[in-house]
This record gives sequence, C-alpha cells and structure tokens, in this order.
Amino acid sequence: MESKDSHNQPDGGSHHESHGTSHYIKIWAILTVLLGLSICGPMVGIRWLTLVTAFGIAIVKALMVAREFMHLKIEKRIVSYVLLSMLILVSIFFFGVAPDVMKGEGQQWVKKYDEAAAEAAEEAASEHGEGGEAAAVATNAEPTSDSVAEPAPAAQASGRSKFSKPWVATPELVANGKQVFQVNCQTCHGPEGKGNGPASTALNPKPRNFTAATGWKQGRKPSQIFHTISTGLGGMPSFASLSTDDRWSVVHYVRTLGPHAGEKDTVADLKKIGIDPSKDNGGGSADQVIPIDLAIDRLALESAQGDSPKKAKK
Amino acid sequence: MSFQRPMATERSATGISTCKLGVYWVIGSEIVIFGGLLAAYVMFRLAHGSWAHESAHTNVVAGGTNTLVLLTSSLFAVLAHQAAERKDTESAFKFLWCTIGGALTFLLIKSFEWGGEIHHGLTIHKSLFWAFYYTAAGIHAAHVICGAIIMAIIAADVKKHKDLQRVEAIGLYWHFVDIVWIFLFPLLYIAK
Repeated sequence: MESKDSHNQPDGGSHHESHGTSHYIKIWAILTVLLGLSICGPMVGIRWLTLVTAFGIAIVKALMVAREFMHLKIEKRIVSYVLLSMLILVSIFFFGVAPDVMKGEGQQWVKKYDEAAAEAAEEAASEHGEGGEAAAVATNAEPTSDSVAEPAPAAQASGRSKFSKPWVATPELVANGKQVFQVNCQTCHGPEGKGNGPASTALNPKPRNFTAATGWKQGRKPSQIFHTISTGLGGMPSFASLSTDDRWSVVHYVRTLGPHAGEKDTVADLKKIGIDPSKDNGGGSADQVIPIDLAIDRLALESAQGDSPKKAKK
Repeated sequence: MSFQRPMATERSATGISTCKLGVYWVIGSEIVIFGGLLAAYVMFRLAHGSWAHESAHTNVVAGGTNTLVLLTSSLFAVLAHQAAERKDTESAFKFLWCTIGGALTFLLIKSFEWGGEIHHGLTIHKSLFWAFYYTAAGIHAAHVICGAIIMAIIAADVKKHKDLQRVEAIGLYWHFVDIVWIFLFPLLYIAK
C-alpha cells in the first residue's frame, strides 16, 4: 500500500502536498472548472468547438481522475497497460463495425432501418404529436419489417397519396421505386432485377428476372405488376404492407429494368384493380385494400396512440 | 479475526496487492462493457442524424449537476483513502459515508430526471436513442447502487479497524464509476 513516506520524488515542490488534502481539493476544483467549460462550450454554437470542449475535456477529466485520484501516475505501469489494452479492444470493435453501420447494404444484407423514413416519421410526429414516434419505433423494432414508410399506410387508408395518379410513371416515382426496391426486393431479385439476389439461391423456382421479356406469369403491364406485388405469387409474399405509392413506385422502377415500355394499361386494365383513372386518387377504395391482420394492427396502433404514446404497441 | 493471513494485502505475485489487482481486473472488464455499449451508441449516433431531435430532450441541468455530484463524491473517496492510510478510521468512515451520500444524491436527481422524462412519454421504447440512453445510464446507475452498498459494508468494517486496505479498493471502483459518467455526460447530454 502506498504511503506518504515512500515518496521522495525528485520532481521538486512540496512532497507532502502531492499526497495532501489540498492537492486533491485542487484537482477537484480543476475538474469542476472543466465541467463548467464543457457545458458552456456548446452554447457558443460552433460545432468543432462543441466537440473539442465536450469530448476533449471529458478525456482530460478522465485522465485526471485516473492519474490523481486512482493514483495511476504512481502505480505500477502494468496496470495502466492492462487498462489501455482494454481500450484498444473497444477501438477494434468500433473501427471494425462502424464502416458497416455507415453503409446501406453489404454482400449478404440490406439496411432495413431507413434514415429517410425515420426523418419522415419525425416530421409526421411533429404534426400529429408524439404518436408518430411510436410508428417509427414499430419500423425499427420489426425485424422483418418490409415497409420503409410505416406511417404512410395510415395516410393511404384514408386515400391520401403523395403522388397524383401514381399508376402513371414519372421520374420521381421511378427514383422512389429504386429506393424501395433496394430495401425490399433486391434480396431476392438481385440488384439489377435479374432474379439472382442472395436469397434466391434458396428459392426454386428462381425469382423473376426483370431484364427478360418472357416468364412474367401475370403479365408486364403496370397494373399487372402492381397486382403481383400486392398479392404475391408463388414463393413471393404479398407486399401489401408497402403503401400504394411505394408499390406503384416499384412497378415503374422494375419496368425500366427491361424492354417493357410497350406493355401499357388500358382503362379496363386499371378498372380491374379498382382504379378509376379519371380521378386523381383513382377513386380511393379498392386499391387501398390491405390484409385484414395488418388492418387490425394499424387500428390497434392508432387507438393506442389516441390514448397515450406510451401505450403504443411494441 | 481470521486465523489465516489475509491474502489481499499479504500475497502478491505481481508486486501489486491481490486486492487492488482484483479491482483492476473488474475495471478492465467494465471498460469493455461500457466501452462496447458507448462505442455502439457513437456508431449509431453518427449514422443517424435524426437522433439530434431526440437527444435535444435530455436534461443538461440534471446531467451536469450529477457530474458535479459524482466528482465531489470521488474527492471524498480519495480523502477516505488518505485517512485509511494514516489509520484514521474515524475520518475514513466519515468520508466513505460522504461518498455514499454523493451516490444517494446522484440517484435522487436521476429519479426525478427520469420520472419527468417518462411522464412526458420519453420512455426506453420510444426510439433507439432513448433505448441507448436508458440502458447506458441505467447500467451505470446499477453500478452506483452496488458500489454504494459495498462501500457501506466496508465502512462498517473500517469503523472496527478491520481491512483498511479495502478503502482504496472501493475507491478505485468508485473513481471508475465516476469516469464512466464523465463520458456518458457529453455523449448523452451535450451532444445535441
């Protein structure tokens, strides 16, 4: 055990002081001042200054506590080395995993937590109160969530589409479709829609190759592709949990992947899936159909949000 | 009074007393526990700018006050160690209980802080930010609670002039708890 008497430090100054009460109080005072600086730093508003004051000061404070209060500066070096090696392990973890967190997709995975959708949920929340946050939580929590814009279906149920006449292709829809495709469809259909995604190795028959003109069991017209997405087909599940806007977006994106522009919808085709093309929102009802269990979930979520955000479903 | 010589002060293969070495092993594993959790938090925070909306709601006053409380309690812990070294068990006992007082103050402020936040719907389920917030600060608070309990037991022994070397040991643990909070504070409260 260290004792005052064993320290004949050649560094000059008062040797008793280095162990004395006033020394510790001095260190405490410095720590308090540093704490004050780290709180005031962000108020200046300059981002790098905030980072320096907040985290730089934190590091300085931690080192001070370690050296002066824990006496690491007079402890055997091996202790410091052991602690340092623990920190190195943590850094290995951080630098090993962080690059993946920053990416949108990898060789065997796709990022399901969509930043853009979360931001959109934030906007909705600030309009509708804190209930919207619960919807964003639902998006994060569901491991097999196949919706990138969970709040949107609630809007869809009342017929409000972001796009006017989404059954007509526009560059905006195609761009949105590409995003939705990458999160929801690429795993099976592959990044270029050739039916060779990572999950397709386990599937028989293989997913549709969108670059080919043949093999489309239910046709290549927009309404037919929309129908396939909404109801599923064979090994493909229904993606009716995606908003109708997202489904139409994917329809139009998928059609750009191959020679499909010639296949167009007639009014009869659209009416078959419940769309009245003379109206901007297609007339509302039939194309807003979602599976019953999903509808029940939505109703439960909405009524929970009505009571209090805390009681929203997990 | 044991009839075997206590191992903690007498035996040492490394030149550091076994008691202290044990505490440092604990601290070493805690570094990767908290370090891992906070590293994961930093990664996610950097990748999701939307968290700034959430983190704006943490209470800097409560967090800052708690940082000051813990710093002060660390001061008392080192003063307790100093007193134990000169075999002044009265002062050591008093300073240990001042440290425990700091712990209790910390927990009191935290319970008001969390009570207020939960009342406003900012629960652990609200979003990933809040999940990290409550998990990190919660695991830290659990360490504060356990440390305070152990400290009280050691203080009782110290009063009976028993096992004074443990004052330093629990002090080391306490300083580590303080250091974790020193990093938690900017990560959860200042980074907005």
